[in-house]
Amino acid sequence: MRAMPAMAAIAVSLFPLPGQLALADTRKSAPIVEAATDISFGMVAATSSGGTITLTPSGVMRCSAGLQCLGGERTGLFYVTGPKDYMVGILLTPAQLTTARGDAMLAIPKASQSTMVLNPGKRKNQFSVGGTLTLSAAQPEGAYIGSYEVMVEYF
Amino acid sequence: MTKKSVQALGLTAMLFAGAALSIEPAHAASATGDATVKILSAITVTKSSDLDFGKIVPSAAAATVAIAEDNSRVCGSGLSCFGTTTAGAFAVTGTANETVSVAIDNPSITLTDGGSNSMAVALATTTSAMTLSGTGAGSFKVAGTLNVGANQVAGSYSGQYSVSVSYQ
Repeated sequence: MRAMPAMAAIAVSLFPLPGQLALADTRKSAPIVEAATDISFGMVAATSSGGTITLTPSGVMRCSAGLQCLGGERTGLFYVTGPKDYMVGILLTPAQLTTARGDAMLAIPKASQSTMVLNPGKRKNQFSVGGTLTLSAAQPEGAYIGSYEVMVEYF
Repeated sequence: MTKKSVQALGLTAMLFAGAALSIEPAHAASATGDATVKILSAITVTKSSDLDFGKIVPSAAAATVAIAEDNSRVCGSGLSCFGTTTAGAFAVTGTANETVSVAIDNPSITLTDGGSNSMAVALATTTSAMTLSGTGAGSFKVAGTLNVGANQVAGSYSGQYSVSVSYQ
């Protein structure tokens, strides 16, 4: 009786399931995601009351009442390259933007789509990223920068 | 099949099942993107002096009194002007070295004596845009031309105007 589990384990390694073979194929041409362009919210004049700035993934900038959007905005751009007809999910993490002096604000990035079916070919599948910034009351002036992570999930 | 070998197959099946589950995880590729924004501090505009036309003795004919940005006065023909005159002046604060635009919101205003008598004033500034200093400060002045009517009723006349300063 004691020897039986060991025998079973050997059986697994000798007769791999078809699913394991599929996994091996997947690894050869796994989708990759590349960052091409950073998001820029441009220049914004703060107010004493704070507010939000929204840059849609299609590039439309909206400043809440009181804030003055002064232009220079640009959406982020990413490319996904992978096997044809692969379906991927796109996930973004929030980012903390900070200045050299340590002032901070929160950025919630938003992608132009949450899923994507891949076309074959390098850099053939692109998605853009906008986001929402939240400014506190009397947000200190300065150049804010921060990073967010983009994850492309596949099975 | 003996009972023992059936148990063995069951165990094997469980291990297969475990293997099958473990090969279906979600995989993820990741990349990092940057986000940037430049925040400028809110602009403040503070009046540092009122536009003051001084004292005027009207005449039988209408005429004008002009105050320039350097506080100097041009008294229209027939009028007598005296007293101190000052141009309107404003102090601006904002983000250092940024350019701001300046506008008078209501360049034509009316001064009244609190009753039914009034005079029209045209306002102007030569500063339509300026670059704030290294400390984020700036200032500008407002000149005005007052239209004094024929035999303008005596009294103390006043009115208000507003200015706007914004980043360019």
